[in-house]
Amino acid sequence: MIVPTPEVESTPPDPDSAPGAAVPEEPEEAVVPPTTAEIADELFQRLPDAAARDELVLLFRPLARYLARRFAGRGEPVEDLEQVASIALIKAVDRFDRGRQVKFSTYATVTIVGELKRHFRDKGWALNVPRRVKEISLHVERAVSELNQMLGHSPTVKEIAEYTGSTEEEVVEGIEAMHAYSTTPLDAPTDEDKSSPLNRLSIQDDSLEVLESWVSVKSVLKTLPDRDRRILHLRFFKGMTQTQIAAELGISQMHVSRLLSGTLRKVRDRLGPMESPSADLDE
Amino acid sequence: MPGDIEVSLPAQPEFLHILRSVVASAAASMDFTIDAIDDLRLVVDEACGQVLELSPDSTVLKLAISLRDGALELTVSGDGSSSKTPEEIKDSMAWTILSALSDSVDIEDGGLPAVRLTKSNRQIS
Repeated sequence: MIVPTPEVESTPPDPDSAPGAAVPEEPEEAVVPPTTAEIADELFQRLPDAAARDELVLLFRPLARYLARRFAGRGEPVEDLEQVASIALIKAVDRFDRGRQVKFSTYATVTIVGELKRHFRDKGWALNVPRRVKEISLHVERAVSELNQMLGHSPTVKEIAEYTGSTEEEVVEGIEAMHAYSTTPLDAPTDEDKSSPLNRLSIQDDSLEVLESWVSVKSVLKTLPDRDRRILHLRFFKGMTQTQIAAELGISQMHVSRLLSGTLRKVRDRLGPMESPSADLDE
Repeated sequence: MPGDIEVSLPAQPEFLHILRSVVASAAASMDFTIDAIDDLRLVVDEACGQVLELSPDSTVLKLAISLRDGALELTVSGDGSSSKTPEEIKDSMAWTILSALSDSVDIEDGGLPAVRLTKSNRQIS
């Protein structure tokens, strides 16, 4: 969309008058300064002279910039648009066929507008419209509920526009888009069976969690000194008591207890910020 | 489109978006391509600008849309008096754009200052 611009009330720069020349409005008697079209014609005759080409581009640059600004407010920086328009203008200069009965300004306008539109499409409309639309409708949606609370009544488009920093036109578009693009969220219950698509598509796989902890614990275990690992093994894999382990290793039960809790602490620390290993690792 | 559409509103820039939206909606309902609709949005702006250029004392802008042989015909008119000649208007960059983006465009001489243009619904590359 195009944001309302004050340009409407002023005349855009005139391409058919020589740059810098204040145009006398009665061309009858006075010495008529050559029109842009005439200057352009002369320059085209000099092509492929590089200087003439440069001059042509400069001559019609106001047209390119004017058109670029007409596409502002659609989410692309004006500088980018002016660049696209300028490149399009150069293309137009290079491709213009003087044999055809078309004025260059017409040909250039169509070429530049075409390139600007293509820019949006490539950049672009296939992606950009949904994304932009989504953004606007998301903003609008959020603004509507927040404003409802703040104002105590349903907000106007203007209020939404002020609140979101968008133009009113964008808001209207966003509202339309909300209607057109509303989709069913995956976790919303459907009418038929009260279960959401997400519910129907997914199950909780508990073994995944166990596997995850196992994988991480295993890597930590590898880093432990042999005796610590052996104690853990005897305690948790063979199911031996601390006294049995003490007898097996020829150390006191108290020592086993200290070693075991020290090892467990080490394992927890190395597992990092994860939740502590499940309770059965503890005594 | 079953009938003609007419909208009139204050001749101030902040109302222009309404005209753009009306034209865009009308064109969309007639299956104009997005490109053509884009062109029409630009064209409405320029046409309004030209009417105000032609007749700065206009306080009301009127937009009429009708369908003629698969083409959209837009007429933007003011309610003031013409202070410029059509030739002066046709010398401007805005006019270049208007004529490049529409199939035909002219300044209407009878009575009110008006710009009338047509754009057909054909695929433009």
